[in-house]
Amino acid sequence: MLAFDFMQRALAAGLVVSVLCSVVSLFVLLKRMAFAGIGIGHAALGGVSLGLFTGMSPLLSALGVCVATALGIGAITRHGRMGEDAAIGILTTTLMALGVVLVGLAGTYQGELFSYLFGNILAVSPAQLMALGAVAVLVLGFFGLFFKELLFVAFDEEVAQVTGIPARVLYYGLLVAIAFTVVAAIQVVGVILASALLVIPAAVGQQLAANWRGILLISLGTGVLAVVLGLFLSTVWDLASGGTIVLVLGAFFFAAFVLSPHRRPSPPRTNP
Amino acid sequence: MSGEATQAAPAAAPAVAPMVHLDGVDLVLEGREVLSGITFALSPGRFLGLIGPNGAGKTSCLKVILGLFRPTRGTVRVLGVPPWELGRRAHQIGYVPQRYLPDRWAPFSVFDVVMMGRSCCIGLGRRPSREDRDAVSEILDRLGLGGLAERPIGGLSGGQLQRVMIARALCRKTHLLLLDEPTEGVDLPHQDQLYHLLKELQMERGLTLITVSHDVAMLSAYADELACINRTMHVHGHPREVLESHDLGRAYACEFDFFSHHRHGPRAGDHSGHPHHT
Repeated sequence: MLAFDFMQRALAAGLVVSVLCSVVSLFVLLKRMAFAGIGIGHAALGGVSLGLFTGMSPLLSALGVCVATALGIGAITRHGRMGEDAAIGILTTTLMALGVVLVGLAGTYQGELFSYLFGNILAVSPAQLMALGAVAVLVLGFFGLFFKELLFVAFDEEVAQVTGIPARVLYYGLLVAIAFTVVAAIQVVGVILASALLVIPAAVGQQLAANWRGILLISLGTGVLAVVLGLFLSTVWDLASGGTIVLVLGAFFFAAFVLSPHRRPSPPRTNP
Repeated sequence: MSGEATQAAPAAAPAVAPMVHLDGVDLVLEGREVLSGITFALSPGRFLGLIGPNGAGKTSCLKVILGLFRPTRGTVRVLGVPPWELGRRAHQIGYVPQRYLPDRWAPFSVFDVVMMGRSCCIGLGRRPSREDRDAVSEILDRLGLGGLAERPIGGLSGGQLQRVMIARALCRKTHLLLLDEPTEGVDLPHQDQLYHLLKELQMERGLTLITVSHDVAMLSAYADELACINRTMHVHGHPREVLESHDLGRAYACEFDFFSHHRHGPRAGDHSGHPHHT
């Protein structure tokens, strides 16, 4: 199977994206940003459609729209007298509506749009693989540099800010990192399922581990294994690769949920 | 601003540069005036209790000192500079927010949470060193939390959690500690223990403390100074002076006689480090 160049590139792209998504997934979980991840992922539809409509690179326009959406979610949440959920709902639906309108305006590119909606990992070109690697280095570099500060911000943003951590900047940085990761994930599983890679790996870890270190390790293992297994199964059974990868992730989550040691009765909070 | 105790200098007039200095601070939030003309100075090593009725602006005042709110008018100086210009010196300030309840499943141990307090000292991209780990272990032991280091943060009681938050604020070279209602949700014996601990830490480390609380009696037993605000500064001075002041009743909009009510409780202004236990 790996004798083909396109399969090697698909596997390499899958591994890069799975590692990237698994790390981001930890912070999506800790900062309760799953809905933000889903929202930014769906907003990418507007960006892809805009790219196809104007002749720009759909992934570049998706990146621009996702970053703008991420920053918009942050700005509206902080300054708009509303919760993050409402900000995400407004921006996501508006940008998806833009995508729908643009698709309707010119109906000549539905086939290409379909590959962005559901992903086509087998079609990853060498240039796209290089771009994925660059995005991974950029985003993982951000997390490597600010890892402990991001943990503090995720746990208690206000106190982090007071002690000299640039909490607000890191919050926006996290949103932008999610936007970059979503665009990377689009190439593997598509716009519709990209957010699954941002949410499920750490959710599996959370079911099985009590500490963030364990969650991160399990998240990495889950993400990588799901991509490899999903790719293998989709090739053997001739299934849609993106959907198969997400189905495997979903199966991992439900298995972890059933086997979770946290579901056993735990002792109550201790007295002082 | 009114009140005879305020007009007189607070218990110890600052002979050295004040740790905290507010001068004519107004704060307007969403069109509502929250603070008006707040002025006070706090010398290093002093323990100030900030009291006032609900919605009086106590927490907002604390957030002005922390630099989380910028005053609409007036000046605020912490360690000699506006708090938002502290830069790396911000790590000299510790903050324990109003009762913080982490998620039950929050995947952090007590040790992890206290180590977060050293994030600002460790440096970008660097892992905690042995010195950082020793500092965390030391403060956990000092606060009687050594045995809980590996316990998940979500499984602690209210009193334990508050001590963890204090440990997180003190695990570095903290000079100023601000606490917002630290005894909320803590039962009475443990409230007394917590204030006793704060008093000991003040003495040991030369800490400057500002504590917001509704428990006037408990706070007056441990604080060196009390300041009562209700949008404006009503009275500021030695706890005994404040408790005897008629301005206290005005701030709370009642004629309640705090001093006689608490005469048989903890002794006002007793800051020997060994308060009278009832």
